[in-house]
Amino acid sequence: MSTVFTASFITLAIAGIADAGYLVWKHYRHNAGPLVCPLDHDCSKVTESRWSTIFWVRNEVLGLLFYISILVAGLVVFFMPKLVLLTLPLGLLIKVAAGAGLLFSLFLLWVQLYKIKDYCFYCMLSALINLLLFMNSFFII
Amino acid sequence: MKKSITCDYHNLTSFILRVALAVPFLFAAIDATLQPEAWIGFIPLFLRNIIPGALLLGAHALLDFTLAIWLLSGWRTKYAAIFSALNLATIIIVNITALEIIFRDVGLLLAAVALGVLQYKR
Repeated sequence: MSTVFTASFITLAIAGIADAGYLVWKHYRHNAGPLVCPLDHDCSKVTESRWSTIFWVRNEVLGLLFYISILVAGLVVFFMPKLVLLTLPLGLLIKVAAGAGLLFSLFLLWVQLYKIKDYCFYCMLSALINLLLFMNSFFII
Repeated sequence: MKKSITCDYHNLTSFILRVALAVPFLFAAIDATLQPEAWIGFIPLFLRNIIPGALLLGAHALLDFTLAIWLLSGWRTKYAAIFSALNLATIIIVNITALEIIFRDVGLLLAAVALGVLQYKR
């Protein structure tokens, strides 16, 4: 286990929480105003499209829960290494979860490109974070 | 018809600079908490003689974490940039003898200055 890679894993998880958390906050807080895109783009075409929910749950909520789970897993890896090595296949679970997150991001990228034919900056950022999390997951245990 | 992509380069540049500063701050805060022995050497000895090193390192990690969140939030970015620049300048000055390690912080310091300049009068 490399502590540096655990730290980078946790850093990415917090960045993901900031990204998804911002989208959740903007959607559910009625007086929070519109999304502010660094590209000055209308992200709501994507975030409010019919592809914005999967099984009645909004994508950003799923993303937030995913990043919180990943953060907790990273903290468990660091603070309870013996538990991880002896009782839990946590390393495998993290790799599978990070891989699933990446696949879901790729699916959403495909939806943006070919179905909605528009893009959302924060969704692209989330895909990048998921790619880095997946690569990082091979080095933490 | 081909879609035209409008782009506010000022906002984009500001965002990239904020992330460029926030990620190292976030990483430093987390890694210093997880493995303090690797970071304690950057706290000057004269300070460690007055205040326990672990306490100083913890306080600095908290400062780095706060700056990272502040930068990511986009709230009063000009002041976040100023505090980031002051933080980085302090790190460089007190560790100037370890320039082979902290030379990257010079680049980060200039990025913080660039962010402050970009946000000036906005």
